[in-house]
Amino acid sequence: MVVAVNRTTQTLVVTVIGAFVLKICLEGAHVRFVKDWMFWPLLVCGTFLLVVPLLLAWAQRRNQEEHHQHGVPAATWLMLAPVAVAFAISPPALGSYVAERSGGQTPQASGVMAPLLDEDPLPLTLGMFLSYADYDPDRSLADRRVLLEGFVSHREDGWSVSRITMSCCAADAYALTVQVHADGPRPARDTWVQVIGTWVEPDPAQDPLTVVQAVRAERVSEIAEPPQPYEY
Amino acid sequence: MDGTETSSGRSTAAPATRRRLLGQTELVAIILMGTLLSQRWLIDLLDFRPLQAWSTMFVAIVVQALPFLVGGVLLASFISVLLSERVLAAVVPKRSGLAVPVAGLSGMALPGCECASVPISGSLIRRGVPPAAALTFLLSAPAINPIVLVSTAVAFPGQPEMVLARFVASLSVALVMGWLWLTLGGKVPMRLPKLPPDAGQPKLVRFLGSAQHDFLHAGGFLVLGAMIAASINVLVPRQVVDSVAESFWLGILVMALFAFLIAICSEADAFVAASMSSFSPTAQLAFMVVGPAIDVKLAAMQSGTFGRAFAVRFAPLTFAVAVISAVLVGWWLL
Repeated sequence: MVVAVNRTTQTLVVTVIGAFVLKICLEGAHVRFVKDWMFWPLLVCGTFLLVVPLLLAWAQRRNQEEHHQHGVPAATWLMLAPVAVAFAISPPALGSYVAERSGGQTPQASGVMAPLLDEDPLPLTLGMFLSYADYDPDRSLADRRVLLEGFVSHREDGWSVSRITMSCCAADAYALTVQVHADGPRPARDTWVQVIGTWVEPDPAQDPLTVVQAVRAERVSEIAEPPQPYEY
Repeated sequence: MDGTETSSGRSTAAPATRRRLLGQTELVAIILMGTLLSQRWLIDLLDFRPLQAWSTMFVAIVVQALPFLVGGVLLASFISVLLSERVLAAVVPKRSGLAVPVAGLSGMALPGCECASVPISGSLIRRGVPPAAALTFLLSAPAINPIVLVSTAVAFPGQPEMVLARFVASLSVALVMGWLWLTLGGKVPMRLPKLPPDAGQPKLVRFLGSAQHDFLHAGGFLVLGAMIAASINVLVPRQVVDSVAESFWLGILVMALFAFLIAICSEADAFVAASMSSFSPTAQLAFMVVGPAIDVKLAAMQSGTFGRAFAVRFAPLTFAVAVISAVLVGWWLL
């Protein structure tokens, strides 16, 4: 039988959620869940949820007992679920699981394509790489050495370097993926790698919507997971 | 971590639960401590990729919604406790029929997400605003505010008709539901949670108390909705949804259902809709009109704030009206 949440527990529940929000903010873990700009709203919200229930409990300490009939629904217990889940599972940044499920998508064409910089190898985000590969009429990627970074996701015929992107929170995340043609065994899933290689131009006869962009790698090296795991 | 210590420290100091040796407060504190201590062992045990993806999405929906929910309950509490009768009477038209369009358009002024609008409309009704107007506001605020319209324009570059269609369709849903409520409302029970009694406390204490009360009422249901939405996200592969895109009517229905089940923020749904480019524009519109009006998280929150009897009637009706509105507007504009 579910018990209605009493006053003291209400204070406890809200305080714990506040502490939880503050904790993920201060650890920088919020970037796994939401966009970076949410830091300040979350910090304010967490502080608020931590402090207000304690203030209230103090202000109402005298009439605690009369308030018993004013419980809140049993569903309030569920508010502890995200805290428990976060502690028990310690949610990692989304990675190969999402990339392998969504199969990769191409970002929207972003208007004008600025000419590529002269660097060699040229560092590009996966989003930029895919935009140029898919939409650039001048094919300026051709024969350029590029440097891509991301995590490893597997495909039936090899592996890809991938990055998760999102527009609001991790629930609307999708993956940007570039297939990697490389010699040697394929790296383990979710290993972060830096790939230096050249664009493999797809067959022009292929349907642009189903084409899988790829690089031929000359060097693949392992790197540490960046502090901002997603790309936007 | 520090929060758990603070809180369990408090629970021993509270006299109200002393009567039983092991009250619920102590139980919750013990469970939290237990989870904390066994964390290392649990993480290894639960190392399973789909479960990890689920947990990230679940926590993400809750974390994204919390600041909006807190903002919403503060505004709701402001309306409930601090707003004077005079100001309220001046703002809200006396005649309900007229209050509905006013409420619909004033939804444009609140750039929040849908989680905030549930407690706000609850508090409006508490203060004597006609329920029809408050519900219109509930439906219009998350759907047609400037942030949502701008993000729609960004997600559909070069298709301003999509923004217009979204605005028209969502506003019509809000208005139609408001006017429907005027005629049918008497038959649907609506049970608003009672506020804690005014025990002669200072206004600030009542303001914060009412905010915390609303937060607890809506929060549990928000979490429930987030759990369902994250499960759908992980369990239903995009390809299954995509496979019906060819069929016009089935596509609309599937996109509408999908919007109901995955419950993403109205600020983000345009990007998801745009990414499902194999669907007809009308189906994409249905996705964006249904989502902010009603989804699994909102339905759960409504049953927490207005009562279950209300939610089981209001939610399906909203869904139907939203789909019809999207189809008509899509046929007209897209």
